[in-house]
Amino acid sequence: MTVIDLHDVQGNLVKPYGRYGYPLARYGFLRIRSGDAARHWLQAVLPHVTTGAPWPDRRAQQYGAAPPLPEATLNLAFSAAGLKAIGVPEKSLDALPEEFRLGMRGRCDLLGDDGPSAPEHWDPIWQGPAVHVWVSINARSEAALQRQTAWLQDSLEATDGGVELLTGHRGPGDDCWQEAGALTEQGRVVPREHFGFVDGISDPYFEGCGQPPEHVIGEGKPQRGGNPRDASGWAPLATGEFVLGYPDEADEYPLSALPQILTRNGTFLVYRKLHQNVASWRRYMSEMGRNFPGGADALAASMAGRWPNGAPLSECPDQASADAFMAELERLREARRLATEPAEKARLDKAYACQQQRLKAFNYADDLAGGRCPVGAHIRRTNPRGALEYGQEGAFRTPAALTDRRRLLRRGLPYGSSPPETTDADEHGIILMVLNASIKRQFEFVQQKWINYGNDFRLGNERDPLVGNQPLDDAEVPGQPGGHYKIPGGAQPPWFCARLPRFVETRGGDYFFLPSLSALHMLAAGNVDPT
Amino acid sequence: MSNIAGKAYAMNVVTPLKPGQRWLARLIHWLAGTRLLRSKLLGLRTLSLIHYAGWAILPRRRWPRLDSAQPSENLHYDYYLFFSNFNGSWEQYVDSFSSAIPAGLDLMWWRNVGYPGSVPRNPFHAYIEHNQFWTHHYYSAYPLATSNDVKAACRLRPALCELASRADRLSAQEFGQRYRTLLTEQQEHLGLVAESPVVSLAHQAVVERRRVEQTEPAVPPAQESGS
Amino acid sequence: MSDRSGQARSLVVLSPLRSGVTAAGESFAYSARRLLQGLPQGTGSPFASVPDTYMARWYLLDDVRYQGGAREDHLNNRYLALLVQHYGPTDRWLDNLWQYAQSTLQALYTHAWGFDQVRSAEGWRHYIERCRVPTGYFFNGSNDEPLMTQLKALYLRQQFTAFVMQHQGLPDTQLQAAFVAWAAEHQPDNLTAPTWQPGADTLHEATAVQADHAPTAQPAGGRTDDGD
Repeated sequence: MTVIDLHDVQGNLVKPYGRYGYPLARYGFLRIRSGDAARHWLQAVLPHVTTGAPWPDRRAQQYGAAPPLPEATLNLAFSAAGLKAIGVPEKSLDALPEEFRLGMRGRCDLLGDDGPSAPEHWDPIWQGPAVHVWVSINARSEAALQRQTAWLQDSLEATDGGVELLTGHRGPGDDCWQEAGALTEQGRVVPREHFGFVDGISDPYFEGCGQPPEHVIGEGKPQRGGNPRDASGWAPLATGEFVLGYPDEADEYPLSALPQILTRNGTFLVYRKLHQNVASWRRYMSEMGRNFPGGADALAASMAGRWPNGAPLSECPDQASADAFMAELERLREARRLATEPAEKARLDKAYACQQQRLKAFNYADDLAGGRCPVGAHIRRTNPRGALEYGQEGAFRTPAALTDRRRLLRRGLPYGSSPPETTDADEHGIILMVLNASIKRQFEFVQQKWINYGNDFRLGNERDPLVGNQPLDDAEVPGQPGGHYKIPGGAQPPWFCARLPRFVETRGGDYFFLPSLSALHMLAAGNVDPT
Repeated sequence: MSNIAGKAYAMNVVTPLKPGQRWLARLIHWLAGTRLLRSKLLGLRTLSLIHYAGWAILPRRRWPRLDSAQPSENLHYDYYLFFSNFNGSWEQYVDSFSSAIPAGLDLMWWRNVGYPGSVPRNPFHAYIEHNQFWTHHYYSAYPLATSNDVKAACRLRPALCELASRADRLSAQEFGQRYRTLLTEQQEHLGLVAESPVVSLAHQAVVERRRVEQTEPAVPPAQESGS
Repeated sequence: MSDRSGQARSLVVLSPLRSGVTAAGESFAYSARRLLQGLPQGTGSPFASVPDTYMARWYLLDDVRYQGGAREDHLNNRYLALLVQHYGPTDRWLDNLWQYAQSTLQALYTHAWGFDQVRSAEGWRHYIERCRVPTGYFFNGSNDEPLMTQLKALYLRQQFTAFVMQHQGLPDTQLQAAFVAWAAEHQPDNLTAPTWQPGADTLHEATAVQADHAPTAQPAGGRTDDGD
């Protein structure tokens, strides 16, 4: 059993902050003009970097039984150019993977960033020389966000221009920060993104991640012969798929730099700003949804693999069952909150956890043809679970052998707003952050083979209907969008969505290394020694 | 030089067999074609990344010698020649083997000198890379299609021929029913293909080569013969 | 031992290249490689005009690789490797290769030992027989239909899927009329035309009409149980 020093890894690696009550975020990018200044600055901010140390649960907080959580978090990551600028020797950099050194712009062909997603259309901040440092702040309140920002900006001003906060995010405000935050409905924070889907339901479960053991259900890797609805059907993924310095799913250590302590307990972070064409999405859903059996929400569900309220298509074939499923979840949540008698509370806690696991506890083994959840639906493409064995029991070493090494930890929040009268040109979308041990084998593979292509799903060149880079021109009718999507009909004919436009466009991003606290300390001290 | 023809990648791997293992390797090859080992190869079929692949054995004393003036070979080992036409990138192919069907792979290769086993992945990667030979001219009859596309299309055609042969003789209602039955039964075989997406940075080299070819047409071979 | 999997065949040929240098003072391996590099790709490839060629390649085996810690082997000759996967009898395929790509073969195999006596399709077959390496196990992950059937099927799948998308939800009467017209245009039973052109790597090129292209003029071959 792998044990990770959670005090040494940065907090965002093991905690999706949004789920811990941090609905607001700011992302900034720094350029290092002086290595010495950068090291001094890093020394100053290092004690404030948020680690993965376990946080007491929220209820213990309320009763004052535990130290308070920080009002705002701070995390830092470095691009390849940033590591060099802060003084990491060439020999250490040489051992880092090629895709990391090339950065997202250098990999745009592989990522399908063409047309409106091409780097020349990215935000101004990506048009200059490489950014060096990624800084992220997550906060529990607006006031905390302002305080943390002001403190950080003061720390940067103290460098006398040695470390500069770059501008050019194309957002509102003073342009120094990419603002992001959970959307709200009637003043209440909701875990939805702009297309209306509840997001962030599932996150890979790996050995040592510090999450409760029952989370392995639906979030670990599928096991042969087990029941996908309970823990017998799942096992934790190897730590080395997400954290460097630990064995991975191929029984070996992921890449490490010299000295090894530079990379151990760290990982690679992909920052990607994805603009959402919300108006186009709504228009397409309403026009196509008129003819689609079940209407616009059913069509949206067929594309995502989940109903907008989060209920999985695999469990809930229609709107009524999806609503009932989520109503039950809400009822249990409320009952659990109100319960006072300990035995009753324990029972409700268990029932609630059980219902919540059902959001993820499926593996497509009983839906190979996609009659319930389409083979090309977004959540099925990005995590096919056991589906790629195509029901050929025993064909592969494990049912999800082709999936286990392609899993991604997803972090991030929406940005901007999308009121009913919104247009595609409005500034709104999602800041996606992916954490993985190998950007090439994990993030890039999923983007390339599963989002922007369909052969592994036996779908020809079909792409992810939600986030794929649909062809800008239809082969038959130039000028019309050229995407297409097949919704299998089970015992009925399939339904085809034609002329699918690109609903999501890339607005910028890069590849970063998220060091451990130990490595940050080495960087600050300037004593990274590869020999 | 190109290992890529649209969606197909040509792989050649030439490796020495451990002494005395040739007959066992032959036996395994023979068994692979029979029921006894076919289940071992179920994984290979399910991967469905491969158009055609094969293994040939070249005994150390039987390399083709066509002229008494031709030097004869003087080798210690028999050799294994592996070839494959697969879809996707080199990494995807090699990774898929290593993570999904390590046992099948080891069955075919474990009698090879220096074969590290298919797991862990990195030594296996290094082994294939070390012994791979690049293709100089590669041709696929359908660069736009993967093996999955060919199989799906060939399943679909007879149904289309059948409906087309009688479509104008049916009542509209009857036609509609048969048409919908066809769509229902054939739904997994319907789909569109297009040019291969970029799967590796080698793609840029292919594009560049095409550009050069188009601006400077190749010299006809007959004029170029050097002897 | 099998060079066949259903009607699909595997051909593996290692042709030893001559020692010494060409008249131009180049090594035979260098000259052969240069020739291969200059061959047009895709629809222009010499293999594109040979009926029933699924996939084919040439590569140069210039040595075997040393494995380290083992006995060190090196080749005394360079070999030109020809690997083909095709439909139907290999002799027929070789005859067609000779017929459609003779000038390329002559230019290329002049670099090889034992080719100087080859004057005819029969001589060519005999030469190949001397250089052929039997395939131990041939794995067919695709299918073994004649190439023209495969190409027509690919063409139809593309056209029919587009048809389904365009006519979704149409009343039966209109649907029937549209399908009858579709079938008349795309002729599912006619393997010769319209279809995909072999070797095309864009959709545009795949359906471009090339009247003087050889394979469409060839008979489909049909399923035969030959004994090769």
